[in-house]
Parts: sequence; structure tokens; C-alpha cells
Amino acid sequence: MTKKTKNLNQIVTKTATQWKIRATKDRSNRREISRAQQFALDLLDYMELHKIKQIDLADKMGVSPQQVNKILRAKANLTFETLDKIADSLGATITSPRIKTNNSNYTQTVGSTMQVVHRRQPKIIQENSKISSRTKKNPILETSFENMNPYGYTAKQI
Amino acid sequence: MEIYRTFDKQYQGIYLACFVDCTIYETPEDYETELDKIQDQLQDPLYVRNFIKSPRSGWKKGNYRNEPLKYLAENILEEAGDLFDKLDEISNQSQNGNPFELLFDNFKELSPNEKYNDPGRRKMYTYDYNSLLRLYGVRLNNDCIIITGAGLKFVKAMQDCKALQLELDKMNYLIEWLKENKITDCSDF
Repeated sequence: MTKKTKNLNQIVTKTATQWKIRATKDRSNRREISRAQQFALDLLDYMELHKIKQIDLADKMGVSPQQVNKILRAKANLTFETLDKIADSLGATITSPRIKTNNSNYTQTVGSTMQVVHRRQPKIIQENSKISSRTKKNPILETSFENMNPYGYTAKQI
Repeated sequence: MEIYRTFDKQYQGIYLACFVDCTIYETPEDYETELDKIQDQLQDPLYVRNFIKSPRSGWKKGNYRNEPLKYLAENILEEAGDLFDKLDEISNQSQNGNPFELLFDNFKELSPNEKYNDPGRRKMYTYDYNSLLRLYGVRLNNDCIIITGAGLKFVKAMQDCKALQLELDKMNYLIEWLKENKITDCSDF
């Protein structure tokens, strides 16, 4: 008696579409997504360090917990207004995005491209400076001599 | 169990699994297949960070136990982004009659002694070295691979962490399902 076999195409009836739609959209927005992910990780670290819950941050920001969840999942379109709300709620500072020329002929730096959030109190700055010294990318919640500058921009000056 | 094509008029190459009415695991209803589940979860900072911290990841049992959480999360998010950008690029190329050929060749046997198993368990790394993320699937004959999921590997053996053990179970389940349904290849379209 022969064993009757089937090939896969006889039982496959559907074509997957969802992953492709998202992959195409994400690929064209990769830089924005990476920034949002980086910000979310820094915010999560900060919230954990200072024992701030999502619901408490939402309450202080005057937004829904779902909105905070979207920010932490890198799915929100962050505006300066939202960044200011986060900064005010955390009692922290988020410096504004700055422009740095990519042209090597121009040696003058207009500013740095780094976003920095830090506590104003020196005590917290010391705590923050100890965490994740091995991270590869721009740390939002870390402090350095540069961002301890009292004349540095604050969220309200963005 | 449902199997999806990755594009219309496909007759070989990469297929995608959706675990429906399975005893060991169900693909969440929000997702069409395992691939878009991975795509969503592994690009979500909250999910990735919480997953690494959970005992299911095996982070504290393996070689990465001394690496900072944020460093690992950043690398995983970046790797997942690179993976899906590459899949999108390959998928666009496949419309010209080269269906996932490059991707197909990147799937290797899970362990050396499984090389000739058919159906057999397979894995794919995103990078040539230092990949934390693996795609898992089942190879059927010489013409198709069905992606069953992905894993973040912080431990030496997959059995050493719960999340990777589940990925093994999913592959084993699909192999049994293919055998039960006497599906041997996809060549005679």
C-alpha cells in the first residue's frame, strides 16, 4: 500500500500581508524609530531608578496611561510639548535637539546632537553617573560635566 | 496550525507559521503570523526590557549576565530593526523571481547532527557574529522553510531558558504536524 503524500502548497491558502506593510513603513522611518526607542529606554531606566510608575507619570503629565505606554513602546510621535511635559513631570531637564554640521570644512560646532535629561540636584547627578557606563549610544539619563553646565538649555527653552 | 505564504504566487522559499488550535502554544490573536508578532515585540523597548529582566530570558544564567540591561536592550532593538529592514529588502527583490533565495541559504541546522533531518529544525542569525537574535524555522525537503518564531539567546543551550525551550517545542510541534498530515515538500505545485 502506497503512502499518499501532500505538498505544502496544497494546504496553504493565505498570504501574509501584515509584516510586509509594517516592514516597509518602518524601513522608511528607521531613524525616527531608533530615536524613539532610545528615548523610551532612557525614560524606563529613569522611571525605574526613581520608582516612578507609568500611571503616576501619566497623572503628572495630564495624559492617559495609554499615552505614556505608547511613549514607552516607541509608538508615540514625540513633540516638544510632550517632551516638556515629561521633563516637568520628572523634575528633570531635556535639552533641545541641536544642530551640528556634517561638513568637515566647517570646524565650528553649532551645538551637539545629544538629548540629555538630568536631575537638577547634584546628589542625583552622582547616582546617575554610575549607571550603565558601557552603553554605546547617547545616554539621556546620564550626566556629564558638559550637561552640568548651569547655562545649559532647559526644556522650557526649546 | 496555519501556514502562510510570504507573497502571492509563491511555490517555494520562506513560509510563515501561525499556531492556531495547538496544544502547546497559540499565536496571539492580534497577530497574523509569528513573524509579525516578533516584528512588533522585538522593536518594542518596553517589551524587550521587561523580557530581558524576566527569568524566562536566562539573562542572569549565561555569558551576558554582566552586561547592563540597557546595553542589551539597545542591541536587540537595533538588531531587530536591521533584520526587518533586510527582510523587507529581500522581499522586494523576490518580486523579480528570486524568492528569498538569499534568506533560505542563511538558515542553518540547529545542531550539527540535525543536518540531514527532514523535516529539520533550522536557525538564522541576523549578523555574521555577535547576534543575540535568532529566527527559528522548520526546513521541509530542499525547497521550503517555515518560520516558527524567534529567540534572544543569552544562554549556552536552548534548553537552559524557558523562552527558548518554547521555541524548540514550537519547531517540534510543527515537525509532528507536517508528518501527521503527510506533507513532504512543496515542489509539485
